[in-house]
This record gives sequence, C-alpha cells and structure tokens, in this order.
Amino acid sequence: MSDKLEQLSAWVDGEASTTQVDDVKVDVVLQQKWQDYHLVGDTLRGDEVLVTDKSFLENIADALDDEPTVLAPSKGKVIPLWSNAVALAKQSSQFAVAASVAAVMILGVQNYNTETTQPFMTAPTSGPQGGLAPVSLAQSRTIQTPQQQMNERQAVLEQRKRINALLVDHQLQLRLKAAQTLPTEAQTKQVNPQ
Amino acid sequence: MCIHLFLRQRPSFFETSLFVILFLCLLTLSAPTAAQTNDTPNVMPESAQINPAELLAQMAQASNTLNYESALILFRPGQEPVPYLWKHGVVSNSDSSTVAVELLSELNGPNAKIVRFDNQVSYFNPDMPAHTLQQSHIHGPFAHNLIRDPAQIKTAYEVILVGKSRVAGNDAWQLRVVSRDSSRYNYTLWIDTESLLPLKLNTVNLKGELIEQVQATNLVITDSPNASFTQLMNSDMPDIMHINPPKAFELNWNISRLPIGMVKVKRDIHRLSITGDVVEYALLSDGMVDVSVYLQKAVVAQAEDVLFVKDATTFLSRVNDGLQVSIVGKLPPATAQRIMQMIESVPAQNVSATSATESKRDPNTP
Repeated sequence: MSDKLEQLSAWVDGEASTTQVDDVKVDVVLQQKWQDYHLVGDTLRGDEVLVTDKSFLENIADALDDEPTVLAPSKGKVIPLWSNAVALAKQSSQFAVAASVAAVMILGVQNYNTETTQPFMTAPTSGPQGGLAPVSLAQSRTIQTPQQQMNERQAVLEQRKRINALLVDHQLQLRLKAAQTLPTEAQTKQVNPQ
Repeated sequence: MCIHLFLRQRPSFFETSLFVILFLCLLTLSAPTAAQTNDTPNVMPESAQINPAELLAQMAQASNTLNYESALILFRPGQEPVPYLWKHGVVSNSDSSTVAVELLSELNGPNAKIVRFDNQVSYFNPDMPAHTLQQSHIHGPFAHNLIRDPAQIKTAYEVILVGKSRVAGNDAWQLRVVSRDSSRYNYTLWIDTESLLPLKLNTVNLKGELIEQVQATNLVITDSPNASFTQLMNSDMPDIMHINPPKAFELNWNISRLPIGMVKVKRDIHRLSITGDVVEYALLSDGMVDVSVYLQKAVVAQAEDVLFVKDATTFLSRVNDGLQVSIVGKLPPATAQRIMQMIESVPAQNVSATSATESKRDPNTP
C-alpha cells in the first residue's frame, strides 16, 4: 500500500510513476490521497486553497483544544535605569539626524564608486534634435570642478579609513581582552603589537 | 476529480485567504504537537521543574567537557550566510592530564582557522602570519560566556525557560536571555535536550527583529575526541606571542552611569594599528557583549553624528570641542547614544590642571 501511495505521490508531482488514471478511478483510498496531496502541494506553493473536508477542520479544532495551556513566564521586573537620564523627545530627534547622516554617507559612497562621467559627454550626439532636453542634463546644473570632486572624495575616503581603523581596533581589543583575563605567566618572548 | 468541483465555484478572495491563513496556522501548529504527543505528552510540568540558570550551567559543563562536532551557520539579515565548522574535544596527555582542544574554521572563502589548546589560541589566517596568543577562549559565533561561563552574564541578563521545540533535528530547550534594563539586545537560545549543547542562538533587537542568527545544521557527539585533534597535538603550533598590555592610565574622563551589569574592564592609551592615531580607550563589558569607547583628537570638524550598524555592531561617533568620541559594540544605537551622553570629564587628582586639559586635547603616547 505504501508503495502505491508513493507512486501516487510521484504521479501528483509529475514524476515518473506506474500509477494510471484508471487505478485512481477504481480505488477510493487513492482518490482521497490524491486530493490530500494536491491540497498539501497547493498550500505549500501558496496557491489558493479551499478546504472543504469538514472533518479535517474539526480535527484541527480538536488538536487546538488538546494543546496544553502555555503559562507565560512572569514578566521580570524591568528596571528603567536610563529612563530619566535623557528626555525622550530630545534623544529621538537626535536619532533622526544621526540616521539621515548615515544614509547620506552611504549614498555619497555609492556615488563615488560609480564611474563619474561628464553629463554633456553622454548626451546623444545624433537622434532627434530640439524638443525637450534629456532629463539627465538637469544634473549639469550643479557641476563641481574636478578639484572639488577630488577633495570631497578624498575626505570621504579619509573618514571611512578612520572609521575602519576604529572597527578593526575594536575587534583587536576583543581578542586582547581574552588574553588579559588570564593569570600572567612567565613571558618568554616580548613582541610589541605594533 | 472531486477537487475540481470545488474549485469550479471560485470563492471570494477574502474567504479563500482566510482559509489559507487558517490552514497555514494549523500546519505549523500540528507538526510540533504530533511530535510532542508521541513521547512527551505533557511538556509544561516537566519544563516547570527545570531551573533555567541550572540548565545554562549544565550546558556550559557539556560544552566544556564533551567531544563534539557541529556545522554552524551565521546569518545576518541582508547578508550572505557564513558557514563554520566547530569541533571540541578533550584530549588525554601522556601524563593522564586532559586538555581541551577546540577548532573553529570558516568553510567558505580563504581557509581561516582558529585552534585552541587549553589556554593557547592559534590563528591561521591567509592575510597574516600564523601566531598563537595566550587566551582563555575563542571568539566564535556563539557568545563565549553564554556557552562557557554563564555566571558572567547573570547580573545583566535574565534567563527564562520558554519551552521545548525542535532544532537541527533534535528536541531542544528554548531559553530567552533578556537584558534586565532593556538597554541591550535580547537573545533566544536553543539547547539540545539530550547532550545539552547549544543548537541555535538568535539575537534580536528591542523590537524583536532578528539581527543575527547562529544555527547548527548538525551535531555529532562522540566518545573519543576527533582524530584530527591527536594529529594536531603532534604538529607544531606557532610560537606564543606575548603582548605587552599598554599601561593603565588615570584618564581625566569617566562614564558616570552604565547600563545594569556593564562594567569597565580596562582603560588605556594606545595607537590604532591602521592610522597610527593615538586614542584614549575604555573597554566595557557585561559578559555577553563588549563595548569600546574611544576618545581622540578630531581631525575634521564633523557637524553631525555618524551612526551606522554593520555586522550587528553599532558604530557611533560624535565630534565635540575638537574631541572625537566613538563607541563601537553590539548594542542598540539608543544605548550607545546614552553611554556617550554619560561621558564626562573628571578633574585628575594627580595631574595639574593645565596638563590635564593638555592631555585631553592632545593625548601623548604612553
């Protein structure tokens, strides 16, 4: 029987199978399984599913009734250590600023990573002349001199380098902390970390 | 067939979606109940007798003494998952003493390995010469104090046993590790009920959104340590590198209030390895996470704060009065912000007033 069901499952999945339509027509169990397999498949794929078997829903309802009641653990005392330290409004407004800065920084970096081309150079030389100006030309209103661009790019790179130096040092300090907690042993070799 | 009949009369979208939701709910619900009713018909009384702190201690005992091998996946939303192989064994020496051996290797990319023999940790990275440091533990995907020495985290975190579920094919206890003052990230830990080894660790922010996940995909426990460990014993490990810790300095600033359970671990003045900038430094720790606080001379005036989160680590930097203050650590940004506001200058007793301000503005090398 289980082999028969396996073959049916393969058939439903569109795989090679010995099951024929005629087999299913004459077997009530196979028909039931055929329906179940499709129902499961449809649900898993996120298709529209209509559960019509009432006994099925009743089984679920029964199963829910039998579920042990989960007594939620008592909520621990939350100690508002910081609550009165800073006015909430003040703090949240600062956050908005901080978050926007981070966003701007990332945008700025992305901008520098892309090839910088002169907008006028990329304007089509052939094609329809006159009429509406290409939208991309709007960018040329705020053109910077190459020197300014270089300086700004340099500043961003410098800042990234400084931030990276701190992040790397943090990781290094975490490693060193593990070493520090050990009892000092006889030092055989002195190596300066730098 | 019969299902076609039902599908022919198309129900309204609302009705159908209701059914889909119901059906999905029950699919998720019915699977664990079926598993539970087989062997443990009533879970709650059993778990109610278990003290979560004891369970953590038993897990630490298991992780420190068992021979096991586990494949771990470190996942951070929006990033590529990083797979690790993690092995632990207790190897007997010829003089019948035992030594704990641990290996952590990255499975993708360059073959980075970390090997620990008891208190010696050897690093094999492709980008630097192999070296050994005298250390008590490896910084692995699982927070090391949580799985090795949970007593360290109990002042800052509360541990709650939630129940049982199934992880990596095993039944698992589910624990929540919650920050007592809601100023740090919270954790959910799954522990194998049989071996009591950790299987999964979720780090969630205060809104409950996942920010980091460590998941074991398999766990193999053996009676004898892995054969590769005995081979490793014979091979030569790199020489131990002793690092002169920078001298502790009396710094003329302090952090007046810290979140519950967080303590100052060390304070010093050192140079950053990349830029060579001199920084005044304080390391804070609550046992679970470590937070670095840097004070340095600002190179550029920075009108706004810089705040971002990378690899679940928050970076916050602010320039004030020519001083740049930076905070780095696995903390909610709000807490980093508050720690920064708690930094205040204190008059140094043993330094004269002028040199105190001088060293604050332009810290000298030790």
